[in-house]
Amino acid sequence: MSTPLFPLAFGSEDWRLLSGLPVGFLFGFVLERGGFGNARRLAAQFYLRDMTVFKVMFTAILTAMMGLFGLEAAGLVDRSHLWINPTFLPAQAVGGFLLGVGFILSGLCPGTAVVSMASGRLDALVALLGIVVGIAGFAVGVDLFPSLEALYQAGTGQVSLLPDALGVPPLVLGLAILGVAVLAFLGAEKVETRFQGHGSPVEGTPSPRPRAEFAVAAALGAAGVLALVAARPPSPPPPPAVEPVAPLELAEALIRREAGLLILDLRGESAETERVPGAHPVRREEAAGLLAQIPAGSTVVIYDGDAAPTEVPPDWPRLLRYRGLQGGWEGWKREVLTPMPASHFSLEEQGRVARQNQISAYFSGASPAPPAAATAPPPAVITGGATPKKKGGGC
Amino acid sequence: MTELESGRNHLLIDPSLHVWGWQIALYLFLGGIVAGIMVFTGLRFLGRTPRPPSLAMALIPWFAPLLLSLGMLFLWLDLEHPFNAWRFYMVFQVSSPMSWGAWILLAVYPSSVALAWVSTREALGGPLGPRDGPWSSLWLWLTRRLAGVEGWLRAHLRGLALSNLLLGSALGIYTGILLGTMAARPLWNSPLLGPLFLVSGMSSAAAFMLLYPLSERERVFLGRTDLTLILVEMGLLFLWMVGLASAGAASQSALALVTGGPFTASFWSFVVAVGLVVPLVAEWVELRHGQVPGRSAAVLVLIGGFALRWILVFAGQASGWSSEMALM
Repeated sequence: MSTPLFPLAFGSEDWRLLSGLPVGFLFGFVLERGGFGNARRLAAQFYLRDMTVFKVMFTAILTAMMGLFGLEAAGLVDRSHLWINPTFLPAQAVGGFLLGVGFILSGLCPGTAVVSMASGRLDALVALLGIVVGIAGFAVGVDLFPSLEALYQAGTGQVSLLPDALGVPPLVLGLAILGVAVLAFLGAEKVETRFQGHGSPVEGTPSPRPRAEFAVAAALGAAGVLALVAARPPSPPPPPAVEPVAPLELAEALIRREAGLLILDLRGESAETERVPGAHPVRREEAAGLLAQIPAGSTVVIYDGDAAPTEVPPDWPRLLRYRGLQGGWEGWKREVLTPMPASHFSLEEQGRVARQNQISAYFSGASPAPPAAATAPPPAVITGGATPKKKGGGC
Repeated sequence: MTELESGRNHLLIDPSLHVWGWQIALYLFLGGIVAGIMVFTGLRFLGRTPRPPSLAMALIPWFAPLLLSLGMLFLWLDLEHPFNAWRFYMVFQVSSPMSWGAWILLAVYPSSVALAWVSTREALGGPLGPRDGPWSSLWLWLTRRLAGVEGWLRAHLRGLALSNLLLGSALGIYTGILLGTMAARPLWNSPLLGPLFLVSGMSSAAAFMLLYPLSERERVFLGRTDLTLILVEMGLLFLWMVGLASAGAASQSALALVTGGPFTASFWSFVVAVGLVVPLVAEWVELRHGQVPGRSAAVLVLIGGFALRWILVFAGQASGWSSEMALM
């Protein structure tokens, strides 16, 4: 198996952030050239006069599905590193309905609103302001009304994929979706022809639109890819790797009160008396049950007496990021809890040693205030079960 | 006994400088625009064309004293002891960029106001002046009062234009030199910062002028000039980065603030992409297809010009000489 292209390797968090710029530019460019910056065209979808949005979105879903299957089978994508939205079914149903209402009212969804605004359309600017006001209103409202908070959190919060939810093998489901797509493309053409007479032609519709025949041919091609993928012997997905984390790095993360961090102490009995602040003492065989409740994308730091496990047991969830504390509990004691005599170090290293000693004083209880932010409270038990962040889907 | 006290043992200095805030970034941005407006206005009067300027172009020189006053208000707000500011004008220190700056700022006022007045009179004087309405009597009173001064200014118009050109350039360069001479902050410590700020200021000024209803000929001229200025600015930025990369460890770690460090995403997206590359392509496409330059690229240039100063002010303060500084 070749080295995966994804996840991409970046030198720093800022480069990773910056990678969004060219991707966003290309995405916006393609949407704009496809006419998706025009609210009239998007609204025409709801009057069934112009099915472009439907066709493009369905094609995009098919492309992503097939692309992901293909790239994963070729070993180019490591799916365990992909972010998949956790499912909050009731919340997402209500939210999806509201998004639809806003979509019809403005003729734009969040993504196309940005594209449309960049083309200089003022209605898109108003739509975007509405989005901002809506988000701000929700953020205020969720604190004021407990029922809204309950709705916001309604659902499992687990990553739920269609094949698992329906109990259907992915290959069968993929083919079924392709079949639906073929029928839907043919049906869309018919619907369009029927309803186009009911109103004025949509402005900005490019004349050479993709024909249904082309879409059917593309879908058949995709089915071929799927068949090829299925023909490959199923290889068990590689277990997620345990990345090492230095004790001082973990200490800094604790001081920053980093969200979505869970620390598991796997030492057994001795973990009951002393352990890394915020760590949960848990036996290895019980860990899988605990980890199943953690939202995907969280970071789990594991450690043992004098080392950290280097491999993730097969029954542990795959959508978590595992990091092993270097040197285990002994490493923590040696590097974080023991101060360094500053005189042993050269002038250049003294700054680093001073910082290390500040951290040491803080965690060993010699200094009451955390070294980075004097006003922050001491690290409470940080669990991965903190409120999971929801990410918007959008189009 | 002489006690030695380290100036670094101070909350505002270590681990990184926290002395200059948004006021300075805004002042540097406005100062750059003022410098550019003065240079362009000076050039307009030095290389006179037979065609009269549009009304907007004739009135734009007034933005030099107006924006400078706004910028100086921000500068004044930043002072620890604002009511001691008059002391700047009790002395002139040849080796202090701040002293030079204080006197340049003072000299900018009479020069820019005088040229703005001549420019306005050329456009509005005579038959074009307001003949009725509430402004006519004030206009009449002003023109009569200032007739003698105006005559003298018109007689020395070339000198006045030249003084605007020189003072504008000095203002633009001084803002860069002010940061560039500070050896303690390696990100700023480059002689290229002066020309970089002048060119960026002129580019921002061209963009600022494009926001107003200028004539087609003026828009094309400013669009072409801005295109050149953006290219020169890109070259200067590149040289500035090469200079830092090839200097000592402190300069290299300062450069790392924008090549992987915490200012990377903002620098490359706002300054380079939004402020330079996109407007460069947009203005080039406009001119290539014979279009009159519009306002979109101009707005992007202004965003980029502001981002450059904002990021340089804050990233510069985060750079330093201690080895752990780059990690902060």
